[in-house]
Amino acid sequence: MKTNDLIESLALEPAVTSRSFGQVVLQSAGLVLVLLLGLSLIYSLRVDLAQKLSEPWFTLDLVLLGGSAGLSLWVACKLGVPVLEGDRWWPKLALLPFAGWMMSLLGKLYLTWSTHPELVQPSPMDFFCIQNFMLFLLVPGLFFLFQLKTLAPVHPHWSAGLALLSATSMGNLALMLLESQDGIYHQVAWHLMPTLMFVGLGLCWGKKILKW
Amino acid sequence: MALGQQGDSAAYTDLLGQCRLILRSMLQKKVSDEALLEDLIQEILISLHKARHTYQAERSFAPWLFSIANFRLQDHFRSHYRQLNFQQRFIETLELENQGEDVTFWAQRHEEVQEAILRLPEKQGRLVDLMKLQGYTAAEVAEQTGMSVSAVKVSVHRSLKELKKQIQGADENQ
Repeated sequence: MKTNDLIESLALEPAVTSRSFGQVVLQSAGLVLVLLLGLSLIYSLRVDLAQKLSEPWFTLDLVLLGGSAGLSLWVACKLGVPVLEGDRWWPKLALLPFAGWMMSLLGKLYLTWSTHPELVQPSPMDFFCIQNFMLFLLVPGLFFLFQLKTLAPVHPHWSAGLALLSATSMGNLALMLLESQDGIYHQVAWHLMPTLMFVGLGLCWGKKILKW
Repeated sequence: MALGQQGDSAAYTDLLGQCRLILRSMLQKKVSDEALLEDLIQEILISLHKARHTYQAERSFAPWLFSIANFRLQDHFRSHYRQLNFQQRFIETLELENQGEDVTFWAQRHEEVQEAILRLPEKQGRLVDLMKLQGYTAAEVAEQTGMSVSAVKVSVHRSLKELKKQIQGADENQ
């Protein structure tokens, strides 16, 4: 087909509604709020939450995970729209809260291991943990990826990786509020490792998942 | 573009026509093959059309267009280089890679390739020299040598395989 013919055929297609990345962020955040509200009606918060909130490390983790969830979702959607400015450093900025949470966990693991090595031992995986983690990961994760597909990501690896990071951060945040099992080994093995795995999957398969 | 989003086909045709000219001048320096250049322009125009709902009227159009063009161009080069075997890639990017840190290594490589080309039958060596070192297209070489385009492509492909075999054999011997 000649380029002139192609241009003519493209020009004949119907009008479209403009869609900004801000709309996608708002829709995605809305879904997460609805999910959180729904879950809080089904499950009750952990019994020792008030006491835990007075611990600085626990509060710091909550803040870092909340920051990671919000910032990575925002950047994933921002990268979903073709622009040139800031595309190099936005993804790195979005990773900062997550890196902070990871360092906090690894720091706690090291301190616990050096002072009380008996506390660092494998803990069994419970069904509650898997169920909620997957619920918070898969439902928002798939929705975020679907929303990103409606845009035109020119950095699909980063967009998919950060969308899944946002979903896993939300999952971890919810589990911190619901689950009373927060041993350091459990958090590293069953929360941090799956998060890294899903982010890695997003980064590796982003191009295929968000193909347009 | 804002008019195009609202369904004004005349304005949209005009815009795509202008984009075509901009893309042509942008890509001409990077792609020498005319047919490939036209294919790439079409691919970018289709991408631009698919992404037209993401354009915001209050933002500048040029960064949006160039962002899509760069994305498609990178995609094209990535798949192009993946398809080429080591030897083809080596010859085509020889000059580029020579600007790297290990100039001596690449200079030796260049000599090895030139020696290997000299060992080829004269006609095949000339075709490789014209297409892969001097940068002529298959159509231009065909015109110069009086061969058909497909015969030129087949001959060059076989020569490159032979060159690859020779250089790999030399590497193994070392």
